[in-house]
Amino acid sequence: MPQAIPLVAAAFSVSAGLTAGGIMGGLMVAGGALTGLGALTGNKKLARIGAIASLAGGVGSALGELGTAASGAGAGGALQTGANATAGNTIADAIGGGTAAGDLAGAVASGAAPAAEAVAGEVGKGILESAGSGGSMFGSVLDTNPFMGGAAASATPSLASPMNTVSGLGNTAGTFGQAAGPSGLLARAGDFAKGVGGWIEKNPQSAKLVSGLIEGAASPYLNKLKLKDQLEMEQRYANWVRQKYSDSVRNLQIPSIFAPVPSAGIISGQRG
Amino acid sequence: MDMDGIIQREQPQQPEKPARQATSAAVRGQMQVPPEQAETFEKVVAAGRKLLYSEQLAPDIQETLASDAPMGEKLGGGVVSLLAILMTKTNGAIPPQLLIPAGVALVTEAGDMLEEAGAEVSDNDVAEGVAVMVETLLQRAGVSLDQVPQLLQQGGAPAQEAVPPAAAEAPQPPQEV
Repeated sequence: MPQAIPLVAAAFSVSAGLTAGGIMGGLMVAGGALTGLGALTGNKKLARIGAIASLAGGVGSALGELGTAASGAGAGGALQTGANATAGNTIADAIGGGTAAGDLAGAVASGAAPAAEAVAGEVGKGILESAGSGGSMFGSVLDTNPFMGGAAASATPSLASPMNTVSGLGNTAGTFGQAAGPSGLLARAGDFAKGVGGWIEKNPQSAKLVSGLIEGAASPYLNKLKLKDQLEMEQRYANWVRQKYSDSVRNLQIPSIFAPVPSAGIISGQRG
Repeated sequence: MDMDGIIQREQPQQPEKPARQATSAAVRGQMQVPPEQAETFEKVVAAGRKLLYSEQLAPDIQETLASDAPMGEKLGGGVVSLLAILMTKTNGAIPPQLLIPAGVALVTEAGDMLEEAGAEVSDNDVAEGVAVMVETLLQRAGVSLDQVPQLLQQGGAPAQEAVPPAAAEAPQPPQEV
């Protein structure tokens, strides 16, 4: 039995292993959009990425043909489709230790499937927990990111939304909700990814294989992780946006030019 | 003198602002998500959108409007953080090949949202945000833009693609955790 490792570490081991082929695949998928945006705006960096994406598309076609050939070879086909959960567990065991597969499978089986619900719920938990400790749930993220800066002051009890009903991930929420520090979430993710990146450079074939195996193994789990009721979520989302807009104009100060004119002369004359 | 005349004279003349073309709908229409991954892609984007519009993040987004950072960096860096949260909370179950497409969709979505919230967001801002997001993801994978063509060539060569069955059974995990 492989040595147990923490859930968060297992998650990072999975996500970090995905970086090899995945990023390139993403470039291929989004290549059209990247190129279009680059052409539209003249953004040189984006145009360069778009050119790389075009190259990736060419290589991807070659890989696709190889994959088709491999799918006819029995084991290759099983690895490519990734439909076999047992194989997925074995693969995950080999990659990140038994805990990785166990936690992921456990998360799926324990009803943590609605990924978005889990995300929203855990975000709230993290904020509330860190509010108690004087920190910010996003503090660790915010160290490197201006987009989410300064969340500590906004962590109020009102954030305890009804969505905080997802259980079973409390251990990760606790870790995730730690106060800010030099070892922030993204910093840790980045450091780990860099470490894996070095390993990838040294072991390109193994990295490619690992990445492909994870992609295949993740598919059945992801299917289970999908939202139970997409329509319900969309409806709640629409209701929330509507409420947000309503709230935003509730105490709006109307410019005086649009206010009723106190003079009764013209208007009352017109009415009369 | 009638009221219509007063209102017309006192209303400031707003210059016609060109419509932004890099909207979420327009950009997503240019992405070529494989049909077998389209549903998953939508789920990932929906989860990211929900996080983006969540009440928990609303204060941070409002602070973003007052930040001095360039809009492109706000968009790109913010979406990278969203993706990191999503990856962590799903135990890395998001297919890696959907990270950049989902990131592109979320950058444009965030651009739409900030514009509706009153921020000045241009096509250039969205493009810069996408570029920042892609470059950051590549960097976090330990890959620079300069290395990408080389890695593709190295990893995509048919001669190197064949892997012996023994290696397929027991790939060595990364040691640095």
